[in-house]
Amino acid sequence: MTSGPLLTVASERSVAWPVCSMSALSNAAKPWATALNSSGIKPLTSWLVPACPTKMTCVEEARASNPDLRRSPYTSRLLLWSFAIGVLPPLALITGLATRSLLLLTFVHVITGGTWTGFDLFMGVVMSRVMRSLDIPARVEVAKRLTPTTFFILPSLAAVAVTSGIYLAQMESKFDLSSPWIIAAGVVVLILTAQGFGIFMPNGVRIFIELAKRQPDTGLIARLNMRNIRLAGVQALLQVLIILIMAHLAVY
Amino acid sequence: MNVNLAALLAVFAFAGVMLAIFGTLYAGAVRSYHRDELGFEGIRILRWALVGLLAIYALLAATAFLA
Repeated sequence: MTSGPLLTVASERSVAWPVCSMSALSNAAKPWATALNSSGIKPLTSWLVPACPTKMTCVEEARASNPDLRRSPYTSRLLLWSFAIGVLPPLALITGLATRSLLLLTFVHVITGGTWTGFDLFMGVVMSRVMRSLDIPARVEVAKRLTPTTFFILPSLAAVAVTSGIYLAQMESKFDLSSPWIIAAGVVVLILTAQGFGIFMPNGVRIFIELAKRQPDTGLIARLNMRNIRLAGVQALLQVLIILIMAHLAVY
Repeated sequence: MNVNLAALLAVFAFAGVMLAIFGTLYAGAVRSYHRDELGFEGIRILRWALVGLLAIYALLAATAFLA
């Protein structure tokens, strides 16, 4: 019976489902609810209808009664959005390589590199000032939304910009590891990568963990987020440097 | 099939570093969950975050077979 597990989960978690009346139940669920009613067990509709006169009230009450739902109902949605955008650069890179299109490969490299640099410049130059002007609770609210939204997009942009750059240099026979310009680009990329793996990603994960705690340390969330935003400024400077190196490689 | 071995190894190396760092943080989160400081929603989000990152690395690894 399809409705069995549904009702079991509902009762185990003590969550008021956003289903408020018998008419809203599926045809498969109705016999189950009727059987429960006739068996002397507290009727399903008596749990739901009086407590939740409207669908919206149901959702709000479910969030209020369940700490997990109350904490960050938007985190999963923002994370999913971030993933949906984050897979686009690797897919574009795959398309460029599969079609052997120098144009598409160059486009992917320039757009991902430019977006990555632009994003870091924006974070370092604009967002850091905006965040400093906010009080701690407001900073935490920004961090709660900014961290999941950027979680996949930024690593994806960074990885694809670097990977497509190496493939492009190989295709144009410029990937000469004895060239000081290529070595300089490699050193900058290594620093950027170390910062990404060593600071950005762990800070993002620590913010997720802190947000999911029953008593989040809001001060820690604000500090970690500010650290990431300031570091984005440093990354932007390094990226401006690497663009200078790229300009030299493109011209000479 | 042509494989860009250097690119493939680089992706595996980066994925390995990511897994090591993420794994450490995840283990800390699981400990917090067992101490009842952390809700299961946090663990669930971390798992999805890990799956998402691995999916992006898998796509990057696929490029090594096309270059």
